[in-house]
Amino acid sequence: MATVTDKDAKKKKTAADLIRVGDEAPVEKSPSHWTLVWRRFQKNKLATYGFFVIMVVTIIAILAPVISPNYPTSLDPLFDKYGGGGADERPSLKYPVGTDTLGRDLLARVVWGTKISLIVGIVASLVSTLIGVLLGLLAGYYRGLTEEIIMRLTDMFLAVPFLLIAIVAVSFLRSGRIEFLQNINHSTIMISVLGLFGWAGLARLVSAEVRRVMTLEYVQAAVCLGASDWRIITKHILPNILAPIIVITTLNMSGNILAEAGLTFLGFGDPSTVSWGRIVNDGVLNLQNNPEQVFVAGFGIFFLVLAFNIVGDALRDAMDPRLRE
Amino acid sequence: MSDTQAVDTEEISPERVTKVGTNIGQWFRGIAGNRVLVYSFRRILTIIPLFIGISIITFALMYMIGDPLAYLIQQNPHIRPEDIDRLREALGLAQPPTQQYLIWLAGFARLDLGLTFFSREPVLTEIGKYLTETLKLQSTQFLISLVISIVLGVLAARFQNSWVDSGVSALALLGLSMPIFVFGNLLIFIFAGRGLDWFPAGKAHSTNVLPTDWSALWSGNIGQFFGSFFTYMGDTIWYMILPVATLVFASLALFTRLVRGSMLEILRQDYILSARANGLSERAVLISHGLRNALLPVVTYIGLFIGAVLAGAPITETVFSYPGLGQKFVEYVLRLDHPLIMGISMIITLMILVANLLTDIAYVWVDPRIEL
Repeated sequence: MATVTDKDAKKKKTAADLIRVGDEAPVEKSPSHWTLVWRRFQKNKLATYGFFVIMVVTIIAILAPVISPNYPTSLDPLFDKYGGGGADERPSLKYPVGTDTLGRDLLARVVWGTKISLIVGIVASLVSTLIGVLLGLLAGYYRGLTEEIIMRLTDMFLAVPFLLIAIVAVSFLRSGRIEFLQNINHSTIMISVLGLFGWAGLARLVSAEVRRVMTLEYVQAAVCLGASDWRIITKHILPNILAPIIVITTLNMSGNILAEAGLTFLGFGDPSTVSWGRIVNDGVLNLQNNPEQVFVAGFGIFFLVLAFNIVGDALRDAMDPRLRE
Repeated sequence: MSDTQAVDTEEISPERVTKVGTNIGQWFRGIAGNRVLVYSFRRILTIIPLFIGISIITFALMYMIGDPLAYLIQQNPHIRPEDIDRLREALGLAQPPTQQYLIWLAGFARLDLGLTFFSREPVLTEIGKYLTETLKLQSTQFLISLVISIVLGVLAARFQNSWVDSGVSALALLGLSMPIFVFGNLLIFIFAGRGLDWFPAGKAHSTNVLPTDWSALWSGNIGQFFGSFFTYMGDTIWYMILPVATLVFASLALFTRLVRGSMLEILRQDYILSARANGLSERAVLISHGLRNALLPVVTYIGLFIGAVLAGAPITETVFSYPGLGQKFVEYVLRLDHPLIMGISMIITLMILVANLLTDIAYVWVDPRIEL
């Protein structure tokens, strides 16, 4: 009983506090913009799921050598009467997802394949973000001839039929015709192609945003105070246009994972590198007999991309609540 | 005095000039005053450098992949050097790459894309064979997904934050995240082959169904014409269902999100409120006041979308082994057939550029508020 009255007293006190304005100075600092964003992000349950999936996949990718039961390229074509195994084997205790046509452990291949998808997806979109933000800032800030040149370049890259050019570019990088490109590995090829052809949309967005921010009073004030270009760009402009950049980078990651998987599915990756698109490509011929050869890796791509899309959407909602409505 | 006179004559002279050529001047001014025409003209001019730039990138990348004759030479160790030279001369590979590119560009300007390396047929006829198949697939899926996404998008915007909205958003998210080749294979696994076996798993036509017999129409044999026409149409549609379903699932996501977002934007406007206040029916508010205005951003997006669709064709067509441009492109890249690689990629680039141009012009034409 006593506790109840205590609680009531507390409630009354807080209500009274609210009425008395300016009686006590607020001890807490008001939360910063990024704290608010983080809080809003955490409230989104779907986003937590997406974040969880990405974390799990990252841990799997890092720990692949530890948790994978077999080496992804070691062959076991011989059928073991007790343990299973052999080519095109159904899921068994020895091979939880079965084996592929050459008798390689599919689970090991899927586990090792996470690395390529993650690295290519994340690094390629970081590369295109870097290029896009840099060019967009230059175009939006310096205007004039710089803007004209960069915008025409952007128009060109926006009109490129992406997959066709990517196919040609990947074939070129894989051909090893140029000396220093000879020992380049699969993920580097994919990162450079996807990164170099994926920045145009972001550059256009950034330059438009920079132009919008440049007209605001505080930037004008900074210009009047004689701040250097570098300071204006890094301290005044960039923090204010960061939200759409982060959102688009996250959404680009899902797009790049899909593109990498698509290119390797078409057979334009490095055939000796284990990646999810490659596993699907290998398994397609056995679709009717051993559907797990296609769908385990295929749905792996699906869930990873879904997670990135969900996180991207949640970030957008968290950073710009107006867009949510 | 003399100074002011000189100024006067200078001020008058431009008017005089226009008066002299009244007809031409007025005609020209009429055109120059027409914002849509001026804008179109300016945009058409900007297409040319873009096209040349992309073609240079494509040609450079393609040229550096390797020597198209290398495989042939490796396969025939006893081939004579003079034969190789003769072959290079015949295929146009003897010149330096810059010259080869310029020859190709000059040919493109005359709509002559050269002969293919392997079959020695004109590139345009070779492309024409497969372009119709690709366009058939893409235009069908485009129309279907447009209609479905408008319905879904309007419903989701109307019942915002309800289960309809969540369902549509979830569907869009799934479509956006599903790799095309996984969904295509899933459809094949369920509906073709050892699954339900309702639809064929690949290719575009049955081997035993002949193309439409147009000659029967000219000779007056109407019955035979319609017989062959409907058999062929039925067969085509039969083979198109699975690939179109795959493509619709993928593009539905983009369209639905777009329609929903733009519809929400419109429904918040004052004139929708006033339309409701005037007692218009919900349907009239949604369709003739809401959707009409909401479709404007959708129109702009179509241009960008066409590029994504045409360039994404290789994956769907490979999954369903559909004899379209995309699947053939993959084959040609592996064979290093230079005229065909250049031909296909640049025709698709041109289509993308023209589609962008048309949507921009349509946008300017429809919405007079847009600055030029």
